[in-house]
Amino acid sequence: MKNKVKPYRQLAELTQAELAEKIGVSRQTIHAIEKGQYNPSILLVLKIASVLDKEVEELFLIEERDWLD
Amino acid sequence: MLLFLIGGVAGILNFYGSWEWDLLDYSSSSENTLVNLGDQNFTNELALSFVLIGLLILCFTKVPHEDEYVFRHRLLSWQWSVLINYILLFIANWTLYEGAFFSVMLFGMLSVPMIFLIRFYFVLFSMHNHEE
Repeated sequence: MKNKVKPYRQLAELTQAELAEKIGVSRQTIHAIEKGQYNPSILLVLKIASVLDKEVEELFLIEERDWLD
Repeated sequence: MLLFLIGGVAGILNFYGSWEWDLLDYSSSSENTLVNLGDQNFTNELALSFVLIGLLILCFTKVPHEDEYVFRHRLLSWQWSVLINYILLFIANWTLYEGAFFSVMLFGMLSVPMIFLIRFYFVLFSMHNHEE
């Protein structure tokens, strides 16, 4: 799964720490999500989408290989 | 942590130095053959209990700002510790005998939480070193 959290976060002029504080997680969690090292829960995805004022599908994109897992 | 340290020191003194706390002496004259403790000293039992309880408290204490990502690492660390523990036991089964194997079995009682703590806090330390 790919995500566009980093560009949309930068567009919203938020640092990783600020986004993390708004959704109640650590900065390291945002770092891991942006790097694609961690797929967040549905709750966290909805919180990120809400703070960045975007649709979930704009932020998180399913890839061809995800269907094969 | 204090419980773990007290238990650890008492356990090492008991295991390697045969030290026993006289207050924990017990003598039974019971005729009951099913539960007959005989003459016992409970220093090693108490030390092991302290170590186990101390380790479990350390393992299950939440870290500051524990979120779902940290929780995932917590679960993965348990998984790793169980796997490594059984690999070590398997190796010990074929390489160590008698007294040495008994020592490993004793360590095996503590190795799962200890490996967990090492792996979990190493991952947390690595995470905190990532720069934006």
